[in-house]
Amino acid sequence: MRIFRWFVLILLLSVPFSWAGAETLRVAQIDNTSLLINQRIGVYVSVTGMGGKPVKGLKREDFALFESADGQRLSREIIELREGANVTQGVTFLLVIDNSGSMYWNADGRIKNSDDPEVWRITSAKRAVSDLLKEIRNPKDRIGLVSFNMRMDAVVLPTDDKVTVERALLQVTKPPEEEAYTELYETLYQSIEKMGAYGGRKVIILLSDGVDFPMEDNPHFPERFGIDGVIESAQREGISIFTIGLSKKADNNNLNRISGATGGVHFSTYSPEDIARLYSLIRDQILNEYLLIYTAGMSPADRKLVSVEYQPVSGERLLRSERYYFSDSLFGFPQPAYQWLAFTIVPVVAALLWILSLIGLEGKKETPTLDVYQGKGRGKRVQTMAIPPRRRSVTIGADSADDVTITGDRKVAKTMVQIEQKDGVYRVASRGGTVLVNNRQVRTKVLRSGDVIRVGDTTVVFDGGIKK
Amino acid sequence: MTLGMRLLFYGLIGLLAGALCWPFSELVLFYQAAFPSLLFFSIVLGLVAGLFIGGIFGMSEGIITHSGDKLRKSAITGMIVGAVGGILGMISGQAALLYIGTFFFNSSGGYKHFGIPISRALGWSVFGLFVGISEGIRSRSGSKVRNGLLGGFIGGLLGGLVVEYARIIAPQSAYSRLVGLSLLGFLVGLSYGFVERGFTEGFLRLLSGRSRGSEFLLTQRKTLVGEAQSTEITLSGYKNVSDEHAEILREGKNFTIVQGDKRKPLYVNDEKVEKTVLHNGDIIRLGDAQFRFSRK
Repeated sequence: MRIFRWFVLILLLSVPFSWAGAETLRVAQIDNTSLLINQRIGVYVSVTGMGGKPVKGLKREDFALFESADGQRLSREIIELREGANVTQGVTFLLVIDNSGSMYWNADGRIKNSDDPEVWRITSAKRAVSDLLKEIRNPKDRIGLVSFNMRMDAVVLPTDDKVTVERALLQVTKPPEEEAYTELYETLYQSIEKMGAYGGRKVIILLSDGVDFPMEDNPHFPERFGIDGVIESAQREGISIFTIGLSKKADNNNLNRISGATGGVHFSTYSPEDIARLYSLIRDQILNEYLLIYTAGMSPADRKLVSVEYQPVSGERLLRSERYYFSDSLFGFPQPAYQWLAFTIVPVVAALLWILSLIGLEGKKETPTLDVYQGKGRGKRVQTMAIPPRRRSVTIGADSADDVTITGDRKVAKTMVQIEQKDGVYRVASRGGTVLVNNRQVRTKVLRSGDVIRVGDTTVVFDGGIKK
Repeated sequence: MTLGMRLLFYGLIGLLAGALCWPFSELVLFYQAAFPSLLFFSIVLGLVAGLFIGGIFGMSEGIITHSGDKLRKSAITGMIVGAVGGILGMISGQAALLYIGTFFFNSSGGYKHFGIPISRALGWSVFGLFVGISEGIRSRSGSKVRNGLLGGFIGGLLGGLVVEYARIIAPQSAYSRLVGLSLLGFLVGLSYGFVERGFTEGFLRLLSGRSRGSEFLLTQRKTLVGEAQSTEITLSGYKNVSDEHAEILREGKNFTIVQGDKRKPLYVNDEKVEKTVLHNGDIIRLGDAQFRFSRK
């Protein structure tokens, strides 16, 4: 009799529970890389049945697909369905560990105050985490950790750095007696929220020994969602929840319900093989995902919601899973109403361009001018002198009596240059010292427009003006 | 026009170019839902944006040299090259936005305030980069391509950030894209004037006649000077200037001037030459036009 009881127990423990007959649907990933090329969107869908096993052999007609940009759901034709889409993306795991007082009891709950960690339930939980860390060999996998009792603690957001998780695991220590509540559902709900920021395939693994034991008016969870909220949001986010019970008192029914409805599996107790099986089951689910391809709509939106529906053969209720993909366009959203007034900018631009062209024409002067530049290189224009048409003579030099007085050039002394005008012809003549015109030393020369007279370090550019 | 003025001039031209393409881009955006695909939409949007920016930048040389013919001709080539650049830029920018944006969308919580602005800014800078090099390609100037690349990248980055943060701060604002596009244009324009100044080895300053004060950067291997519209330095309103009066050849840092028309004399420092190496401060005369050659 005793042997028979053990036999039944072992049988029960070795077969994972599952939500009998329930099929689940998850949009695991959306691929928008072809959007700009051919307007196609790829939707990876995971359909699981008994024990989290992937459902195979589904056809295009088994699914319905909708896309919405602004709340309006538009049906989209599935152009193609690919089976066993070979995906290599990683999985994001979030381990949610119960750290209530009872986790420091022994497995059957008879020893409640042992100092031997080997006896504690939490030790099994920690072992499960270590086992999973060993199992993860895909470098693209990420893992995070959350512990909870009446509140969430030791939160490590999913990372590819296993050491961080191991370190956080060490910080999961026995809570004070007063923190005896087990906020299981609310912690799960908040964990799902945290996972929302991650893409790809997402899995939550819950390790708990008990039942949801909420605290009234718990300040850590002001808003409460309950088990239905957990299931609904996990389905919406495409997160599958695997649950591992760590005591006989664990609420197997509800944990079964959560995992079954989200494509996960419930293990009523922990054994190291479970983690290996869990991991290979997740891999199996991924390898048997369906890829649904459809043509995306063009409504402006920075993200679009894809909603996939599937009617299980068993006549259960219609399953639906949704997920957003990034669809922003470079210039962003259009204005709600087109402002035709915007076109008034066209004549404004034209007018300003015209004004700019006038500024460019500034150099067009009718009267002859002398521009004086000082300094090395390109030089800096220090003065401009317009020569009145009737003026017979202009002198350039250092003398204040000169018409163009050069100051600050040591090489210029007294009057250096004289320009004389006769019948509109300007002639330059040296009045002593070295005078260069167009880089050649001259005594006298008829000036052409653009000639450059150089005395000392000063250059004077002559412009004959525009003759009418 | 001095180089400083040139900076301001190009900056303003760019700003106006960005502003001009704004109402047209808004129109395309408004009808986004009517397009069959994102690719087609990006092509049209890029075409419209590039057309106007390229056209105005093409006109800029014509405005500087006061040449109406040149203005029209380079405005048209500017529009064509600009449109091609705009299309390529918009597609590449959109691809960058989708790729980088999806990465942020899938991996971090604060994507709205950090990831998406970064993605959009990078997308815009890719777009700006293509817009920026278009004018360089049109005017066959290597350094303008280089400068436009940098100016377009930075301008796009800033423009994209303006557009994105305006959307977060003031979602109803109708003018964020106007500011963003003008900023993009301004920086592209500035880069033409600004960075080119750094890269140029020599330039000519026109000392006489109606375009007196214009400066011409000698950035190309071969710069033609003459009356013909096909020349890089087009002289109109000057007497005794031949169609292709002279050509200036650049070899590294050395410039050589060669007579282009046997019947029309070419003078350097009042001396008749057929071919000579140019030195800083040399005075070049072709017909009535007199230039001074300067090194940087």
